[in-house]
Amino acid sequence: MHIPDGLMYPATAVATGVVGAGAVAYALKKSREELDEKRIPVVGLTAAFIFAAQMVTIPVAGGTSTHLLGGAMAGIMFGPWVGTLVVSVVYLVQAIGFADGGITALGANILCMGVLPAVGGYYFFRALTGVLPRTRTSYLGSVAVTSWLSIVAASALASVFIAIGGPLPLAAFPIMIGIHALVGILEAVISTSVVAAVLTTRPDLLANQDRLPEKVPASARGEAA
Amino acid sequence: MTNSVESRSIVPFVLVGLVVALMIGMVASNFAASSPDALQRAIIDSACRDAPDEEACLVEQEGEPVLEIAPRALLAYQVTWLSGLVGVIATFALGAGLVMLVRRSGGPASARRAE
Repeated sequence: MHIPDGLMYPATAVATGVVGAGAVAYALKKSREELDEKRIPVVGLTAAFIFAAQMVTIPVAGGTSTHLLGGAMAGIMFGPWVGTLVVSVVYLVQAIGFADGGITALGANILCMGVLPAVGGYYFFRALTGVLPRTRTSYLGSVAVTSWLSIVAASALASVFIAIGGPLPLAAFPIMIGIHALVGILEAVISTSVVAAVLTTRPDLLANQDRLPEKVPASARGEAA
Repeated sequence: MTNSVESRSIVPFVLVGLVVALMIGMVASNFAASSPDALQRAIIDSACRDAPDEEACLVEQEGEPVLEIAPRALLAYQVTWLSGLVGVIATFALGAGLVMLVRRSGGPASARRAE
């Protein structure tokens, strides 16, 4: 879903660049509150994992392909602003070093695939797990639903950015959202698998400690976050 | 109560994770599909919706330069294993380095810890 250079109307690229930069600056500031020393290398690891996973594009129906985005997963695992920072690092490295996503579209890409899924996904996940029973199934089911929804929402926001003065007609919105409703299933599967692995091995590293399944023993939990 | 958790080293977890990330980036990425992603597909499909010859239009649209990877990349994706190696190391270093700098530069959490 990376928006390349030249696809957006210049004014849209400037506006999203400014807002995206502001969001990353705010994420840097808020990260001090969300993160403890122990999780610093895990943040780097998650960014590295998402980068690697995004290199593996998988064919889906209709002559298209997809890969993990990981924004909602990062937000659920680390909190909204550390999650935003994690994926912003990925998009920065991709845009500068690999021409994957345009440099002039970096702000838009960070807003669509970083801020929206990480921040929105975090609060949606908390809302879901707040009303569901605190079981492993509910927890991981909420990860799956949040991840799927984050892709659909991100595609809608990307459509708006490209449509404002750009080449994407309003008629393309259903196509864009329809395709992403399908590829979101892969996002849900991978994100849920990764969170399940961390939940099993190191639940103390996860944010949302108050939402962990009741069966996770107190001795395996981390600080409340 | 949290002693057992705090005493568990993070190093093995991170090392195993990095090996997995490197394997995905350097090996699994060789099998990546080359077909357009969902955004490109939506643009191609919408551009050809009312075209008289949809087949020819699709072929033409798939060659649009704006939908292709720009040639300015420092490392072409063709050199997949090297791209994976450099990318994984760069994102790990930048991600961990950035949050470490932010933490060390002081702030509410650091202040709480010092109390």
